[in-house]
Amino acid sequence: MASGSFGSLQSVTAACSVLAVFVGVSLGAPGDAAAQSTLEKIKKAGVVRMAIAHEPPFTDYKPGGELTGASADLTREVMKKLGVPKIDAQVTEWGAMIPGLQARRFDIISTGLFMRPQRCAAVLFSQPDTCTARGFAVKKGNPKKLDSMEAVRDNKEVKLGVCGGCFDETRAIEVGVPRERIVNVTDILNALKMLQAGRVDAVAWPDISIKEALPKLGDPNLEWVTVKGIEPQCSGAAFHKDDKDLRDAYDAVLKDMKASGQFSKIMTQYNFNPDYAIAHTREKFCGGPN
Amino acid sequence: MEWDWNYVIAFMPRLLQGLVITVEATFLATVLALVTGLLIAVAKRSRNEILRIPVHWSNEFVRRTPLLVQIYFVFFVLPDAGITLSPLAAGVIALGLHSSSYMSEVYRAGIDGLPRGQWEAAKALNYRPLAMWVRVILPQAVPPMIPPLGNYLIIMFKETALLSTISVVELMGAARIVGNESYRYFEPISMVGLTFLVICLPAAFFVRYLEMRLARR
Repeated sequence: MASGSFGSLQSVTAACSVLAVFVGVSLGAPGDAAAQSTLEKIKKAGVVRMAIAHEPPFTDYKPGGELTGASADLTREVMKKLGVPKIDAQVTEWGAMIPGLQARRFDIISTGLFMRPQRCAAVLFSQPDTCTARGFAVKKGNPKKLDSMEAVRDNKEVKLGVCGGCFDETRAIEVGVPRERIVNVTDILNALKMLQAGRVDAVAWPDISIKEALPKLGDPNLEWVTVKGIEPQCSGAAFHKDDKDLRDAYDAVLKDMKASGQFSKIMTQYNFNPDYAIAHTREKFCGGPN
Repeated sequence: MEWDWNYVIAFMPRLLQGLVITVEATFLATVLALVTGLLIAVAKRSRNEILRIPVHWSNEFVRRTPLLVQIYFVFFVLPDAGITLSPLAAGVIALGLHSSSYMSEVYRAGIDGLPRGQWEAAKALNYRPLAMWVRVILPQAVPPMIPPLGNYLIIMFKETALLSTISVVELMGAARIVGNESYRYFEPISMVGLTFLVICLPAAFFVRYLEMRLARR
């Protein structure tokens, strides 16, 4: 056999041990000695850290860094009245928002996070702000006749695109759509690309977001339908379980804005119907007090 | 933050289902990478410039761009050109081609590592090209390639976690879904790390053992 040249072999076995480090680190809990409440903290700092998705017309992060949208404009107004002039928006995946809030990576979520009993158990919600019906984005003419979650369940060939951790994912599972036919996507564009490519047969999303996104994609072979058998759903701003004072302060301002008509003005500007949000309280959507 | 064992027991079967996909993706990507890597290595040795130069530059291109970008490209951009692959197929192709560009270097090092005299001796003994490769060159060049190829295999195994971004429900994807449903990442993500560790550590020791055995020869 040839000799030499074998000695130059180098080992990269260290690669795996890196994993050991992050498992170890994750065990060390940050000692959160919160002497100051979050409300006091953000007032003092003058800035609130807010989790958003890129989800027009709820929250729309413009290329220049300007943040608009119904949820964003509303929260900005409320925060101004609370004495917090600045919003530090952090774009986050839907599924990572509530865990991130619990880990105190942000102080508030305001981006069209729908109220669900399960979520109400994990976070505190403000009173309802943005309310919409549910929609499906489908191929033109809706060839598979998908107009309700039950129709998705009953057609064994159909794959449904939803965002991971979103309202529609939970509802699909509740209705009985098997996990294998639910495809997790990260955002609405990602979902519509999947629909274009035929990877999913329908995309379940708030109808107002689909209506906003479809023209941007400009694909004549896609359309949207309203999902039957479900009432409009409302979202609200979400807060950490321990930040009841912040939530109550937020609610008080929101109540005044609903009374003065300022709330309705912001909502109608983005084509949301303000009346449903004004007529209902979070208890309806949370299935109890929150 | 506290560790909830009941929660872990409840979600572990779903993570193990994900692990099956992880292993499947690693296996398929490895086969693709081994074959393509060899073709690249041979093409790069070719005297024919029309073959060698494009292969060289596409190899550079693959190695100098991030794997995640390539995965997104294959999954989200190729459908615009009419090529729609299933999530697993897209992931395997991206990961396999990415790794093949590195594996081709392992092949190259193994072949170049042979002393010139071996080639000359094979010629002097009047071996035909095929017989020269099969009976003289490869039997000596392949064994020293095994440990570095093993290390690349371990790296690929871990990189399958990236496929969760294109909706492949492998180990990491399963953990993300579990986390999304319960709003707890602590246990599922820790268990993903631990599962990878439990598999990678013995694998790394085995590669190490092979290395030492070869060094002794």
